[in-house]
Amino acid sequence: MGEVIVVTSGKGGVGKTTTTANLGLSLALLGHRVALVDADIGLRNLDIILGLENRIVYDLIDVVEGYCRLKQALIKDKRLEALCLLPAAQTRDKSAMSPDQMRSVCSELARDHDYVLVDSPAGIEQGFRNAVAGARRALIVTTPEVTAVRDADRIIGLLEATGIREPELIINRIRPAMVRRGDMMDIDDIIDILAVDLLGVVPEDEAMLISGNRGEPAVLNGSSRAGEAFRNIARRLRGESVTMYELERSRGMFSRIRRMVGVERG
Amino acid sequence: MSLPAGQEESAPRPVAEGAAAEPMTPPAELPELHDLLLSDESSIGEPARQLREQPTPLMLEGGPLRSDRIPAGERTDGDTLLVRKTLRSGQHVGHRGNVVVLGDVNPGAEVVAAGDILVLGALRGVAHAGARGDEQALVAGFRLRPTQLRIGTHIARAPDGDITGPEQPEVALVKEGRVVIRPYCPAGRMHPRRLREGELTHG
Repeated sequence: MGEVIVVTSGKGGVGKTTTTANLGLSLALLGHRVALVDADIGLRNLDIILGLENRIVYDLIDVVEGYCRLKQALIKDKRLEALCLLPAAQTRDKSAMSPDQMRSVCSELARDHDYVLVDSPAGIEQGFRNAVAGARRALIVTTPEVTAVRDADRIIGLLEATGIREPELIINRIRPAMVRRGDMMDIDDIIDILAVDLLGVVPEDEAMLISGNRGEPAVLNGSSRAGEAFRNIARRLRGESVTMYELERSRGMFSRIRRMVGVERG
Repeated sequence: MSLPAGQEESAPRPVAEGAAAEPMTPPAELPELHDLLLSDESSIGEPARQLREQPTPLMLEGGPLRSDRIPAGERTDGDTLLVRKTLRSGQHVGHRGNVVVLGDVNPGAEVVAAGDILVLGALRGVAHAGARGDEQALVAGFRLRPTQLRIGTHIARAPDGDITGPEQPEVALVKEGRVVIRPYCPAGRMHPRRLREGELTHG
């Protein structure tokens, strides 16, 4: 029986879909059988990031409405045999399915796969409730922005009401140089507020944008720093202990003094 | 030691100015400074943190602000709600007595109580103590960094810009018609009740 993990954030545009795609590929590279579920019905993206758009015949809604069997809707990845995608419907919306239906799809997928990653839509409404319904575990994606962290906090609060155990955090798009200058929230600031376990930190990397547009996720690119970060997160996800991506954040003596006397936070 | 002593109440927290530019204390003095800050007998004065307050107390129709968010019922002594978790953005706790939070109150979360509010963690969201009009109510927390503080009919907000403050417990209360924040020291001269009754003169 595999593990169902939802990737969610509250805020849009922080990298949920990119994270899902890269973690899915990484886990498949590590030899696991992985199914990705695009729960963003009406705003289908995961297939594009994976470069599988032109292979879609059936989708998630076709499955829950009984137009096809689950196996027929699953698209095998063109690179890795062990990875498959259950795409979202593009012509429907979030109300086309219920949390119960998602639960049964997830549990069926978990029978044949080691990991089922559910890519959640942004927001806290029905789409979110559907996405988390079948999951036992949640990955919260945020960026070092006050708005994204605030929304992540809201999501963590909403997850308390579900059966999901302690959510884990991925901080995406951090820019070490900006953090050093104090122009960006640093990791400690974010952890201080969210108080959840940190699964990994992904540096800002132009290669991510390019690879997303080309349908070739960055984990397949050996030289991408973000790709490396995602590969490490995938290993942590399955329980390995991997050293955290070391952000060059050297705190000077003076900064520590100011913090001690309470002038400076974080 | 260059921390100014004896602040007037109306003065803003002085320590933030120019803090980023240069060191305040030579490293050699650090242990001494550390001891001083942690001792009760601190001689560096107890600068009051002044929040910015609206010029006039805000009243909504029908009574003190947002008392409607407290469940109905008479308040009795010792009626205290214990919240054993961190309140996250979007979460709300309202109670007719006092509220104690064992955790943080994050930005976007709010606590409303007819009595006092005590946060055993960081208060970063909105807290409204004395929400039915009790001006004697207070808000205390290990770290007071509220988005907004309301006591009785008074509303105070953090100064614009980065919210900073000392890494020590503080208490907010209404004194002479204004919300002020003081270091919290339960047994000594800084006891909240004494502060309130004006036994202590600052400066």
